[in-house]
Amino acid sequence: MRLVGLYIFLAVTIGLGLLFPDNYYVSVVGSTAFFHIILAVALNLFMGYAGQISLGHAAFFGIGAYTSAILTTRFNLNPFVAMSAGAMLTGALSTLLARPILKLKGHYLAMATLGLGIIVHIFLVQEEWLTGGPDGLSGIPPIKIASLVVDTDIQWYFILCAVSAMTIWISLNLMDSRMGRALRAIHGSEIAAEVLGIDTASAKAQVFVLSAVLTSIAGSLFVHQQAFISPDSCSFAFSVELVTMVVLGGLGSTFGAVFGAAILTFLPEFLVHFEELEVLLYGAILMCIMIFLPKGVFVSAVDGVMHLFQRRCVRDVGSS
Amino acid sequence: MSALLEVNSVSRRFGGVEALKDITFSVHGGEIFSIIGPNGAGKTTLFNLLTGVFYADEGSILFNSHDITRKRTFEIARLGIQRTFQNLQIFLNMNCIENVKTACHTRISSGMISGCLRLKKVIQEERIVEKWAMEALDFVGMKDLALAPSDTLPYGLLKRLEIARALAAKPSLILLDEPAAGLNDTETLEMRHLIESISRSGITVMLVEHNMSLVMEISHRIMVLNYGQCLKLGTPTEVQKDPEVIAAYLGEAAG
Repeated sequence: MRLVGLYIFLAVTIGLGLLFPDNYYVSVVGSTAFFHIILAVALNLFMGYAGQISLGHAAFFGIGAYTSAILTTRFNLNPFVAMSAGAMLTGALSTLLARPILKLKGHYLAMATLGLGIIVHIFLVQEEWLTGGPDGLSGIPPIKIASLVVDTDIQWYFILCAVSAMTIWISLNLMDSRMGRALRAIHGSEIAAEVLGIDTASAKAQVFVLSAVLTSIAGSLFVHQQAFISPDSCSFAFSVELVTMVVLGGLGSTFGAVFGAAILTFLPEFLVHFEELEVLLYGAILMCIMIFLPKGVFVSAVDGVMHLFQRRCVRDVGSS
Repeated sequence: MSALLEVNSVSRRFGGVEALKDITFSVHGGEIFSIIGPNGAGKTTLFNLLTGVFYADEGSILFNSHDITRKRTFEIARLGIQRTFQNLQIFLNMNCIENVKTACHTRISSGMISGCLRLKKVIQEERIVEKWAMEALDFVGMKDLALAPSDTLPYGLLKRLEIARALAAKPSLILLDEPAAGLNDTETLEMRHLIESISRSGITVMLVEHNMSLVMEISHRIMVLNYGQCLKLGTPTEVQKDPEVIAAYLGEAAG
């Protein structure tokens, strides 16, 4: 019962992958959707569970991406070793930053994480000798699993599907565990959480690091899939897009993040047909969703269904 | 009886206001110890000092012979002090049983990584936590509401839920901040029975409350605060007869 959503997710995504392996919207856009799902679910751990805010998650994505890119192109390291190095670097940096940054709350925390994102972005643009500057880095080798070189769209689709499923699994597991409850308690009332014996500073720091490391791993995978990375992929706008996914789907819900990520990936693809109206419609749809479904698309839908179900039960009891 | 909690000449100022001035008292294991006084007398401030929400400017606080004067809130909780809040602090983003399960935090130990991977230890912990939480809900008579979302509950039940949550942490001392405020007569009576059964189960109770008949009937000892100072400390009968207390707080009718 706990993992039923994950099974549905797997059934749908694997089904689509098997049925339409050559469809552009499945293999290409689908892969992008998986990236967004991994990132949104990771960010939801920090934002939705613990009730904090980060406008700088693109920085961690960038650190993972560039570490992988640099280590594999210049030092010929195995992609998985490079990915671990990126994750460790992100882990170290986020651990170092967590305590001072997470003392801040609300708007102040948003400002601090925003600053982090911008600093990393400036670094990536300016330090041309290392990062290739605004042009970025290219020629990044594909990953190899055993002797299989992953370089077709549909292969990536299934690999990213597996990583997304793992991220969702982690998120669902954490929800019903000691630390997951501690995080949600911090979201509900930080003072009450402390009074119950929860070291809130430590819990927030831990989930910040966890979220950052997952984001970094997604970044590493991204460079191998694209074979290219530039600072544009880890800009402030991307951080905001991730926050939008989490909020749009429904804060605090793992599948809310999944839905938010999927919507924000597919919506622009379909709106392309409206040409110059695209951006206008995109903005209007997001605004309407937030006005009419303030809890997010997924959470509001689930609430609605539950409400309907309960009313029906009450009516049944009343008539019998 | 041995002293579970010893407060020695504790003072706390907020700017120029002396919220608490040289307060000394001790609470014995097993008693119901009430604190009364007019609004602004320093009752909640005292609870905040005991739980490390604020620190005392002067003086010391000993709990179970641990010095908790400068300890942080979560460390004090781990030593066995729990509290409820005057203005409820329920986790409204969780249902009832999750609220209570959260309180079992210090009784189990799995970390974030094992939680993410749902190791065997976590599964075992979840089973036992479920049992503990149901026991606590049962204790306050809310077993049937275990899965109810907490943001749909009426005020009286939220108060009980907050007590269930505090109890699930297995405290040896529980601080109740105005548990009967906003309750009707029936609910107040139920609250009284609940406090008595908490006390019977061996937990020491400290109570801040404005409902005088409740306080007088269930307390073993009462401390009267006025403008941050201890006006009187004694049994309910002694307090009720004290002319200074009558003048400051109770008024003629109650005396």
